[in-house]
Amino acid sequence: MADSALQFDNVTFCYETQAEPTLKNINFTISTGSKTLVLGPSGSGKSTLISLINALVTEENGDLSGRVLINGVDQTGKDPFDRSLLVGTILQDTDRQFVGLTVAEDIAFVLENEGEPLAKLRQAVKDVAERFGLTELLPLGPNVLSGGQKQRVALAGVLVGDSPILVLDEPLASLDPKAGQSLLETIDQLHREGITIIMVEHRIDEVLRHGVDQVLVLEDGELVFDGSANDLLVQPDFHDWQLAQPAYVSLIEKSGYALDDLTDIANIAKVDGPKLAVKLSDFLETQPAATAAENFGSTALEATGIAYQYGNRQILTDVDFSVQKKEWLALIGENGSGKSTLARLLAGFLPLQKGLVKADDKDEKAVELNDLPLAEHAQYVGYVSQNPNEMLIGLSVFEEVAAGLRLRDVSEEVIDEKVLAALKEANLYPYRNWPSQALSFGQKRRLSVLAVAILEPSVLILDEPTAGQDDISAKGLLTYLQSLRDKGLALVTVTHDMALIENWADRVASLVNGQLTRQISPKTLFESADLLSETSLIQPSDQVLLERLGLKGKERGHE
Amino acid sequence: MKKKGLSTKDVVAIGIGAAVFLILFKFVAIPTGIPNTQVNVAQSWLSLISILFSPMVGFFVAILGHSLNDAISYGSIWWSWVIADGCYAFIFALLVKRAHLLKGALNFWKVAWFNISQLIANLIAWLLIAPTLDIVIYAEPANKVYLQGGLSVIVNVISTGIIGTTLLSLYLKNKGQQTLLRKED
Amino acid sequence: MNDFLGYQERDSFIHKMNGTSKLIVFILLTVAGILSFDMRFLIGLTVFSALVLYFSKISWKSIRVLVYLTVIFAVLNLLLIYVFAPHYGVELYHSKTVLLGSGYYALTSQQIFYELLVLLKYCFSVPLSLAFLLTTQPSQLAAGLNKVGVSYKVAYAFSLTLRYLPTIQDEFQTTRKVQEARGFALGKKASLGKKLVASTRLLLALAFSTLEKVETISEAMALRRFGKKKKRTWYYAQSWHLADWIGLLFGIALLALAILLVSVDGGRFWNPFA
Repeated sequence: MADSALQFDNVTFCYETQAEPTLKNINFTISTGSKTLVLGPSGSGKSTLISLINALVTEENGDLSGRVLINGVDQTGKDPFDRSLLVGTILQDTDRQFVGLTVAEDIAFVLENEGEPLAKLRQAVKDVAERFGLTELLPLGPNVLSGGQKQRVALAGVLVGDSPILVLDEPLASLDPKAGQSLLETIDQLHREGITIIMVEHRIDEVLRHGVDQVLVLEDGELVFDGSANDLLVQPDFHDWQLAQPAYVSLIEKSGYALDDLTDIANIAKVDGPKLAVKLSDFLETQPAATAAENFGSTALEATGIAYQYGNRQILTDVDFSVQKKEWLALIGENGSGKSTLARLLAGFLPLQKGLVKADDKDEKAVELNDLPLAEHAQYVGYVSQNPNEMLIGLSVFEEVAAGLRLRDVSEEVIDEKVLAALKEANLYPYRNWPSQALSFGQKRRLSVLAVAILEPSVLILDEPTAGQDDISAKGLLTYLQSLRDKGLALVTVTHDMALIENWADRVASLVNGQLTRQISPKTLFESADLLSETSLIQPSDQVLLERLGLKGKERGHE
Repeated sequence: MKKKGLSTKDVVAIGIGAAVFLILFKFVAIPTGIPNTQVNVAQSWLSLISILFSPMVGFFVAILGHSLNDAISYGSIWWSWVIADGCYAFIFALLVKRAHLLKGALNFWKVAWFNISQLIANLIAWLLIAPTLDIVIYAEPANKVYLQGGLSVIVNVISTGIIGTTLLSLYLKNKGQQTLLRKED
Repeated sequence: MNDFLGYQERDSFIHKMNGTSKLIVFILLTVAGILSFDMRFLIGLTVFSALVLYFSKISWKSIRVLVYLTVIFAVLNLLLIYVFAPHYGVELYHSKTVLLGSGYYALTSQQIFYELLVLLKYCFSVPLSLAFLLTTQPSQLAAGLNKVGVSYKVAYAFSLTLRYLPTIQDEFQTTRKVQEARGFALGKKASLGKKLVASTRLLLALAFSTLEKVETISEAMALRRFGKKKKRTWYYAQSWHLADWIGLLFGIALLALAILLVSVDGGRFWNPFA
């Protein structure tokens, strides 16, 4: 039997400032060289668990009982600095953990802090850069790197110090699916080299494609599951834990097939069961056909001949774009494809260099937006950026929403009525008197959408609306967006979230090399391997399954 | 955890704080109509950072932020004002420490303490340190530099009084003790 | 980052000097320039710095706007000095030679000489700082700060400022647009009151996200053992070569000259009217 790399022995932890313990009687063992996935919704205690492992949180921060053992050694009373010799940590925010001015400097960081002599430092950086294929990036700064490259730099920067246990806190959060798969491959390689991997991640579907040895599930500070991925997926409580079910498992479950009858359920390449194909095939037959051309409203926003140049780089060339009322459009494209630039141009956040943008007002009259001041532009096209903190300034939740209306001379009564109704719809009503910064990240996101939507624009553009959120809060936001859409709003979401594209969007427009492709249905997108690859997406797992079982094309409603 | 010197968090607060100071300094200056005198939002940011961390952090945020801004926007550093800015932050933070602004809710006395502290610190920095250094370094005539200093004091005291106090009170509402927050139906 | 000056990669011997020696020379010459009010010395120092800038192969185009700005600022300040103290030169040099006009604002050669001196005090440091700033890689600058005795924590804070400046600037620009879209514009047309409200909102939004950033970045650094030891090494630290020693020699010599002149002139001012 393998030795234990990490053991929690009846650990309970309560922060100084809190009445209730954040972790309660946690017991588990992780063996050396294994790969473990830690799951649980926001607030379940995952981050505290990770912090206890890497010593960001110790007995100095609160009341700790029980023992944390690393490689069999009790860590109570040990210097937290020394913990990083045993445990290396990768965080979700790729930009914030990149603290050096160049790749070389960032990789060297830990050795610099150890005061290692220069010659040793440079040799170590050179070696680890070769191992991770980063040699050519060494002199570059973080602003020219993609998220995936930054995560690889982070891995190199941790492993240059030779930590035998690697903790990853939502490493995929800011990566597109393709970069995510490539990072998971790198992690696999490290796993094969014998490094113990402990990973917190919401995106179960993507992680499972590479397999894990052990899964831990936390709920309200308690460890509710400790076992294999195969066992996890058939747990009757699975849905109560508010986890994101892999798309192919959802499909099988929806078809009415008993999950218990499956073998290798956690492995998409192998999963099977008696008559699975037949059952799925029957199920697909009964599914209502997707209407090929849905009837949306009239045009909400139309842009023609958009071009944009930054310095010598042509980012967009002659883009035509339109979105209809009641349409939900997903705008996709790989890093640097210009999708954010297009979104910002449409929203009036960047000055138009070439082209024309028109939007429909409430009387369905087309208004030219080109030369409008931003505040007026925003009455037609609302834009919600990725970071809610750019909008929320710490007033009460009610005031944050009301501010935009107040400036536009709406009467107090109308403001009251409108804002309260909107807060109810977005499930923020109970918090209306809270200062906005006291909300959770997911709530802040929802509030920032609300603050823009309250001006009743014809189109709402959202940049990566689901990024960094757990399944529950992402769904909460999407449901709210759906309700806005149903009232006649057109939605444009810049995204690489596959679940959003597959389950929520009506149509997909992809930017490739600065040009917009034809708008297609999500289904068509997921059938085109070329387009997926060009836009940094991967095939959704339900499609992978159907293809393997030879059921592709069985679905109705094909274009 | 009381350790001597700067903690890692202090170091980051200095680094990022100085970057924000620089950006505000450069991009958010509201002209008052009087030449050479602007309402500087950066001053309020400096005051907040000094309260949240320590006098030393405030001092370095001002020194790094101000000198770097001078260097990369004008190519030369106006040392007398850089040092005066640093001293403002340091003195202000020392004066305000006793008021324990971060504990409990903001009340009249705390607001008064905050504002009297910033008044004293502004007076020392801009009516004593900056003009004196201007005379020592550049041999500028006394009446000119004291008038400039006096104007700076007035503008800084008013702007920190309004913007700085707002910033502090909203900060406390959001990040102060949240035990009173309850969901309402 | 178009709004700011930054390191420019060129092939010059100034570029090849290491960050520490350049920083020391910069400090020595700045002190010398601050100390001296000897016109001859300041002219010499300015010419020397200009030559250094010339040899560093920095293009005039990249710095001209900034030089114009500095000159305009300096001239404005000179006018102000004249308005407030038209006799200051006369007082300093204990003599009065009227060139033009009469009465309180009569123009004297002593005043002209004094104001030229102040202009030089403003300007000597421009080519010097540019030659230093534009030829030194930011990481080497941080390493240099540490090497001349600044605590490594402060030196690293400086490095962090440079690292996160573009990030903060981006965030600032977006925040400004987001607020503008809601109706809180900072434009020229807005009244003073509206600008105050808009800029306070901007500051608040930036303050909250900055404090959150401080939290995560310091965690990321602590996890990689920052602050553990009394000393730290720097990947970009460089060794000393001949050019460094020669530069250092120049720096010391010029500062020594400045000090010597103080004793020769019998004070910091050199009086050609005596």
